[in-house]
Amino acid sequence: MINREKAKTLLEKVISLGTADEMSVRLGGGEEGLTRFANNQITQNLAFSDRALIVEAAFGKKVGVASTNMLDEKSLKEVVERAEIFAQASEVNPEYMPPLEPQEYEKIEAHFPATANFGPEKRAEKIKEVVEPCAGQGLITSGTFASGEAFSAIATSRGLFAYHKQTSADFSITVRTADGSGASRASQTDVRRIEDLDTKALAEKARERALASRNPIELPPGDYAVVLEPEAVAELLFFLFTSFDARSADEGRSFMSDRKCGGNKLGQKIVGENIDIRSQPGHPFILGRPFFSDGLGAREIAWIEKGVAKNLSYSRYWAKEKNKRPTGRPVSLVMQGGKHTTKELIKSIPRGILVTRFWYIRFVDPNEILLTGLTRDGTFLIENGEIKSPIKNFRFNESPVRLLQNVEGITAAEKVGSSVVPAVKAHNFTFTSISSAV
Amino acid sequence: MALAQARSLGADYADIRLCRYLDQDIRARDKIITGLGSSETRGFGIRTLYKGAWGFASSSEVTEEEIESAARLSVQIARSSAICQKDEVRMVDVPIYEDKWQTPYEKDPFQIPINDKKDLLLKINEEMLKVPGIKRTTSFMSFTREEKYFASTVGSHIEQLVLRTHSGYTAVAVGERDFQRRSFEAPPLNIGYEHIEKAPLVQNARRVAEEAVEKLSAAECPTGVRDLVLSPSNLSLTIHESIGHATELDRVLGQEADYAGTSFATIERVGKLQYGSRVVNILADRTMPAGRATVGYDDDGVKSGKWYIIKEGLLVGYSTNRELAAKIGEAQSRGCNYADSWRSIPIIRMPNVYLEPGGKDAPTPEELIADTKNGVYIEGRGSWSIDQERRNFQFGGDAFWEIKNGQRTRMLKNVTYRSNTVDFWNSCDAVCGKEFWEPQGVTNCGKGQPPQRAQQTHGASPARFRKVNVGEAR
Repeated sequence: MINREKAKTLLEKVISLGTADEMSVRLGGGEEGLTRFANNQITQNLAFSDRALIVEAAFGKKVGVASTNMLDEKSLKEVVERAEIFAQASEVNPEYMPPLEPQEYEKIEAHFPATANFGPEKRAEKIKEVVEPCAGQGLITSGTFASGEAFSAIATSRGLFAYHKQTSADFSITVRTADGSGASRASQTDVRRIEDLDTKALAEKARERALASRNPIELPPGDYAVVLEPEAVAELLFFLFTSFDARSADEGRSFMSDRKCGGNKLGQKIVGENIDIRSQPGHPFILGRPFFSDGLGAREIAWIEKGVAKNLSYSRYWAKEKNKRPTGRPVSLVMQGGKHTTKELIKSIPRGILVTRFWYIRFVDPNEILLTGLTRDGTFLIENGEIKSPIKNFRFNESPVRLLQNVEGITAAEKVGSSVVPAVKAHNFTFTSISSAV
Repeated sequence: MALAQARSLGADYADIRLCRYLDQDIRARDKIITGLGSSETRGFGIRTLYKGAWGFASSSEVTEEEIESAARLSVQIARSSAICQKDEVRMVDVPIYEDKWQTPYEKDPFQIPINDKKDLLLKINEEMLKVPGIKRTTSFMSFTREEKYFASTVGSHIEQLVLRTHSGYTAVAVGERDFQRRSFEAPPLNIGYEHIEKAPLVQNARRVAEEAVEKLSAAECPTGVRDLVLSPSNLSLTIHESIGHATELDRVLGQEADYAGTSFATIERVGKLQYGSRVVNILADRTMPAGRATVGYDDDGVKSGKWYIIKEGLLVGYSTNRELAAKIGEAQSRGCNYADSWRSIPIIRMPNVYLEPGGKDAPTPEELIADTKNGVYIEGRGSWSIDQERRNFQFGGDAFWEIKNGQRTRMLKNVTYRSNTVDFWNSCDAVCGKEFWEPQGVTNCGKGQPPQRAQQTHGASPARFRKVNVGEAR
């Protein structure tokens, strides 16, 4: 993998090859191995090593971009020329923002050699360790185990240089029963330290829930109280924050547009008072990248505090227009956890649904962030505070805004990929049809 | 060299793909060119089969040393696969090919001046911006050139060049209560720049913008059961999701269970499952002219073909590759193995999958609407979602009109239709004739871990579906 010094030398050289007024040059890449298994055996097993050099050249406010994955002398010259030819052929972009000058970044240590060196034999052994017991019980497993390291670097004609490297490991396992009536999945992704990945515990969780979800009953669609496990909550939050772009809101093209008074909903209460969500790239469960692709620092930002929209996402251009500080996109999200356990949330529900996770979520109407999708990998009826029975999957049509207005209980937050999210209990979650898919 | 190296290390089979991908992408927002760029990526991937277990290694460093090193790593990975392997991989036979194949085209899009392209996009946006109420316009053009050399220990040596062209645009109208979009495209096809020149892009810009504004005041989707008349631009994605994916053999056999899912269209139902009504004939075809999935050979080195997936409503076939065709006892692969990059492993991807037009007595779209009392006519794509076995789906669209007593009447908005795949295709009672058949396409089909992108053409003539649930989303 290309280290900090080599990346700096290479990017400075690329900038020196240019004749443009301004240049911004990015280099990223890494090495990864990924092993897939299905029907209780390894089916695909790969390793790759790649990098991408992206050159943005500007003559005045005319901008061109070119990229390559070849780093020999000839290719470096060619990619710079290509970016400059494109820039000269382009039109003046009045919204062009010149490259950034040197920035201050949060120091985040996210590279751990044990993860980078976790090779195909070790991945295969770990897979075998969880597959064989399941196979012995007549269960069918499938999943993925990936491990590797990656880096990203940026340099600009204004003297900025930034470099970050990280390791990551991902493991997922789906367990299905032989009669095809029960299935569940457990996963952990974006794990920086391989020793934090407990493959056995994940496999056991999937196995237990697959067995518990056999022979589901049908429940009529309708509005139900729900307990959404953290993965389900995280999936909905992703869609909520696609609406936090300030410009779209200001221009009337977003749920965050204020249609009564004009402008946006900044400062307005949009969800329940018990909801706090922020970006926190340095959170120990996340260890995210400390800068965005243009070199802007990723910092801790409160998006929602006590239900109130505290910040919107401002690009550098829109921030200049509105006299705001640019924020970058809402990433590395941390939703404030509560004091309950999942068991306590279930215990407090007379009749409701426990959702493990969702599948295939899409917008229906972005005006109100109305989404559709389906439950998957274990959906259960709660009656009188206890899990009564597995149920067939539901399709939902619901908005994460309405969900977060209806939250009545929150557990401690846990790592879900590159977010930290709790399970929640909420009332009136709308399920509209039944799916027989397992 | 790579193949000999793999052989010397004990591999029973090996192949190498040496690839170069060149992209050009131009984007305009209102009166601004917001993106003008190109990317190039090169590299190779070596796949090996060692004692019935797969290994794969790839690199962007195309040197002799790196190729030898990757061949060694690929075999090492295959040996590690054997740690958790119960059944040895077996592949159906494939003939030896020494061939060159390329997408037929008239004008290489990479040779067309940038000025011509950006001027066209700005002209389209200018037309849309003339319509009062339009607050945002975007347009794009994208071109890809894929060069691939494939060689295998079977003895094949195949060179291919695939050329892709796509352009489209969107108008956004903002009203007092909401915002609405309307889009148009020159469908994604594998063809040259002549596709852009012939497409009525500017000619439709104003109409599209006017319809975006009209949607602001359109009535909300009714709730209940309606007959649907679906245009090819809407039906293409429905075909993709509810038929194309459901009949990929890797899903059927559980290989994608952890992510993309499985399929209800299981092996024992072939020849028995009445997937659709008798007017439903679905072809899979990697040979159709300009099809987005059209190639000469797949990434197993299998020559492309054409076959029925659904014949007169009956499930009759799958998309297969050499490995999984052997699992179901078929003698030959259908040639559907595809990797989206030199660094990806080939997996089964659906080919071009399309609805055959109706026969000589098939209705015209006007006759279909005239024969519909209470329905909705839908164009374009909107929301789409389907379960992991491809049963329960809910789709939207881009533009909707109510059909009342044989007349296309007022515009509607936020329409969704929800059904189960088999119920839906069995409710199809009419498909218009071949003169109304259009190739539409998908450019961002995601599947696999790590996710790979594939592209397909899905053609159809307008078709009618009886008594489908609409409006459940609200």
